[in-house]
Amino acid sequence: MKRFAYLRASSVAEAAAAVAADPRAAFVAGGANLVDLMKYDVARPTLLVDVARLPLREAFARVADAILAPARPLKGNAFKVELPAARFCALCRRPRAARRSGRASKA
Amino acid sequence: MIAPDVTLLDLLRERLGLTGTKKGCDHGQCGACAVLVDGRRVNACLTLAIMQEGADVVTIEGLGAPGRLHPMQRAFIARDAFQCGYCTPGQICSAVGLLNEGRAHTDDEIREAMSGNLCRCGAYPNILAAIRDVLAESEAAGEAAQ
Repeated sequence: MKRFAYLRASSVAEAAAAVAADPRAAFVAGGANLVDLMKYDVARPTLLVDVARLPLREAFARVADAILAPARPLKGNAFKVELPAARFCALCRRPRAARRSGRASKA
Repeated sequence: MIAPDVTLLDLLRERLGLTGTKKGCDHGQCGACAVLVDGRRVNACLTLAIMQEGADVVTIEGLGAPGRLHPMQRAFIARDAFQCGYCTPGQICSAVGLLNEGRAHTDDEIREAMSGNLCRCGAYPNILAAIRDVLAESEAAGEAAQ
């Protein structure tokens, strides 16, 4: 495991700001995935921001509201939810490469 | 001071000398390192010690001792629920955590809820019998109290 710094965030805002400010930072809640990947040097965050003791249920409820707000009603109780394409890899948080088309374009 | 990269398991075994908790795979796949953190079962190899600052951690050493065994320890002995014993501390801590959760009642539910603890000797039938015994005792005690 590579050396890293550790921060136990005292608020959701502090946690979000700390990870947003450092491209090599990562959130940790339980660690069951991330710590395992760090042991294999697959994940190499230089800063771990611990969110385990934060009131994330409320934060996620707000995010869920925001995501579901533009849902368009379909038949019955079904909704079509349109999400913006994920721009960052959930694991390494690097920007995703733009999706390439199947054919090589001839400019 | 504990460095951030020290797991709870290494803290227990290497620094505190509590070697009852075993290191099996060190990757959260075998359950040999299961301990109770604030009453909930946790794989100690996959949590950092620094993350558990202030938490109440109970290992097999804290559950019971010779002469004053925990009911789950007594049941494991009565049912011969081990051969080599390497997975046993994790099995017992996990089983106690399972009883705290109160969500397993049938044999299949116990098997499912204990599926994170591997036993290479294959003592599963006896482990199940031991947990079933303690579960029946606690359910009987609960009914008597009502």
